[in-house]
Amino acid sequence: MNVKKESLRGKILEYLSSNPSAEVKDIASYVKISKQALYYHIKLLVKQKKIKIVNSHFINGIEKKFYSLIKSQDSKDPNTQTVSSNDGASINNEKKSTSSHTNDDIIYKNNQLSLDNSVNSSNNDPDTNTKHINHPIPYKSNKSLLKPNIHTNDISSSKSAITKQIQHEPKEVKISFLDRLYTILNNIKDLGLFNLDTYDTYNSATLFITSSNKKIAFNNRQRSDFNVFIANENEAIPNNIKRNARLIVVEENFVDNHERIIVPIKKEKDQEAFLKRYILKKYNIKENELLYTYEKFKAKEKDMYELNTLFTRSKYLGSSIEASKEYKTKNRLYISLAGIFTYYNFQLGRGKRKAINLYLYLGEKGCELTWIKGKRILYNRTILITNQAITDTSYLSEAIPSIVRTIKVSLETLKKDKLVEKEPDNIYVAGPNSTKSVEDYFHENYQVKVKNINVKIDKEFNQSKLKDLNNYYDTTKILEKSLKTWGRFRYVYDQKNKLNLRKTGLFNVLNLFMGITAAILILLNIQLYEQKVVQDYEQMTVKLSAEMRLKLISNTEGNINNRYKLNRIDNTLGNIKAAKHNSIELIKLLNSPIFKKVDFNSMEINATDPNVYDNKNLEVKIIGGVINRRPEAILEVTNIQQSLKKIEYVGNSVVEYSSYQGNTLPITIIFTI
Amino acid sequence: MINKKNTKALVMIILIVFNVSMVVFTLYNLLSINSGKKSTLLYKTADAKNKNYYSQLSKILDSLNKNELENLETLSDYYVYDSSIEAISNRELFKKKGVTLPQYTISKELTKFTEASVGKIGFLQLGYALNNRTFSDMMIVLQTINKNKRFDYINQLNVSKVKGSNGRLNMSFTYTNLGLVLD
Repeated sequence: MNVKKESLRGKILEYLSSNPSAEVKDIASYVKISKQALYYHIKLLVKQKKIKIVNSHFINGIEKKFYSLIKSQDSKDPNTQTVSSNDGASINNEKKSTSSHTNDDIIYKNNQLSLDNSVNSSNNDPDTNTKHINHPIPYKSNKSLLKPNIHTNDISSSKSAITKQIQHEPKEVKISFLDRLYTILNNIKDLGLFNLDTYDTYNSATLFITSSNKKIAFNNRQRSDFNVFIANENEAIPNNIKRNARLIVVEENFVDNHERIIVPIKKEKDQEAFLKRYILKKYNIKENELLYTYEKFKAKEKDMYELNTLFTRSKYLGSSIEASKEYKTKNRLYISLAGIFTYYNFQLGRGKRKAINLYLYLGEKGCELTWIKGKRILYNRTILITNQAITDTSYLSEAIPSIVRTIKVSLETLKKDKLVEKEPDNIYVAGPNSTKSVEDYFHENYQVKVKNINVKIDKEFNQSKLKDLNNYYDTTKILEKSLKTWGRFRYVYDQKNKLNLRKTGLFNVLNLFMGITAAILILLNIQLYEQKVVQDYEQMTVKLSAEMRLKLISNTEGNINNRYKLNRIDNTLGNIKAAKHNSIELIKLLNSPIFKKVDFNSMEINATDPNVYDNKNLEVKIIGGVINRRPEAILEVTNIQQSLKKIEYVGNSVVEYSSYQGNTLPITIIFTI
Repeated sequence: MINKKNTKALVMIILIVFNVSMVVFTLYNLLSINSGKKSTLLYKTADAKNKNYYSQLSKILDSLNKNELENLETLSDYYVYDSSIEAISNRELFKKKGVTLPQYTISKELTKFTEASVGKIGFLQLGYALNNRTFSDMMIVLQTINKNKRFDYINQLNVSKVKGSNGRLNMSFTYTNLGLVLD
């Protein structure tokens, strides 16, 4: 290490000495280098136990860590050590713990420890005690911390827990709305939105069986605290973790094989039958012992399919089945670590799905090596390192050569199959033994990005308290993270169960779709019904208005008829009056000079009855003759006719004459008056 | 698993039935709204035409109402009775004027022929034949009816000379009287 780097780390320590709880951003601004560059030094200082993470919380889905100095006297101070290792504990602390016991604590009869980095810490942790004494201020912000509550039924722990255990009041850690939104957006991004199984993980639990047969259980997608419970083989898991609709069972020691078979078979049933026959023959497994699951992928060749299968003997699943028996849920998804990694890999994002990643699970006794591209397992092998617990150093000396050998073999196989051209794009390490030295080893030897995907959170407290959990806490977090977007049930044992789950998922999706449709239809119908009511009202109004007008028209027509009749009667009455006058006028006319030469024989006058509505004109017919006027008589008749036509009130006048009868010219005069 | 699947299937069936019924209800609503719109439009169109027609009718009625029914108002003072009463009335009327009326014939008995605001209107017709009368008798008859303010008139009149009588006339006429009729 050069002087420059040393001075940089000195600056970091200097800053942290004056700022007991600082995040990388703050340190970066102080030492004036980029955050990315600083991470390396921070990691190194953490590894050298010069600094530690005192706090961490999530903002917008990103974990923010707060660092503080580890003062050498904290661990070296004999007084603190004495106090912290004293099972009797300090009276003050015990009082605190007693007062903060919750109801749940009583139920578990102090067998569990609920540990976190809050104020009410246990007094047998030297670090925590020191922290408590020296740095009270950072704990004020504990509400925003992600609290890992770890429960255990371990007898050794529980014995000391009676006196040591300090139960903390559960502090509500609310995941912000932005965090939830971020998760939803991630789901949309991964196209898991319309797969209800994605949401099923909200109501699912994971049971992880370690190689030493301890049961680690937790609820997936906790809204607040991430509760991890650890129990020995024969101990029961608390009911609050069992209250789930679906259980995912993962066993560290679970042994399964992987095969990729290229076939031209398209139908699912035929594929299943073929695969079954193939495995039975090739691996000499009895039919009733075979458990398999497979995923279908399109092969490079046209009309060919790759059957990507994981299979095992049913006896290897026995311990998982046995361990999960205490759960009442019938929906149990048995999945191997290789299957889990496909979920993790798929979540890396669309850009990284084409990358070929090598996953190394470094368990306590074995190692799982899995090559994954997208959601497809390219190669999977389980390597047994040891049958008994060994130290970290021995583990690495045993494991590394085997892993390197297996990587070499697998790489050759994959190259031969033209699935891989060179080294993997990324190596991801996980598991309880995935230490920094392993990370560095693979980074230096393979010259690729190596990432420890164990989820690191502030858990110094827990590790010192719960030896049983060891490094599994990080592993549980990576399981939880992998199962964040569940769905499609890839590589779930066995195939039949998987298909059933998929069918249920399909029903869920259909039900969701139809539920949404129903909701939309209800809303639409409410609107339409409103429109219809308005429309009906408008129609009724218009109809009434039209009917009213029709009635008005009918009445008006009646009035017109009535009035017209009255007018006619009135006119007729007027005409009757006129007709009376006309008869006198007629007599006057007959006595006028026009008819002076006419000798009247008879006269006939007619008028219509009163019920005939007319002008009541008098129709006059006069029969007579012109006497002693021959030959001028005819001329006289013509004069009469012309005279009559000139009179205004006389109409239709006709004067007819016939041949002379002696000296008389007979005439007939007709007119109206 | 099977039970759960069945439950989900049952939920799905219920949702399908519900959705189908909702779709049917939606269609019903849509059709109903559509037919309602058509119906409203028809009513509106018809009403607009009727409104126009009504305004014209109103104008006609207004013009009809402008005529004052003077004659009908006058008629309310005059009644027509049956033939015997009318005959007596005529006989006495003409007697006063110096014309003795002979026996009458009933051409048409009292008949109601219409109804007006003032009441039922009817008329009767009485026939008279006056033989061998002077021209002045005829003029008295005509003048008497003419001056009468009642709604009566001579419906039919036949006048002929009596041969060799030096101006004597045979006259027959039908007297028509119109007025209100008592029930």
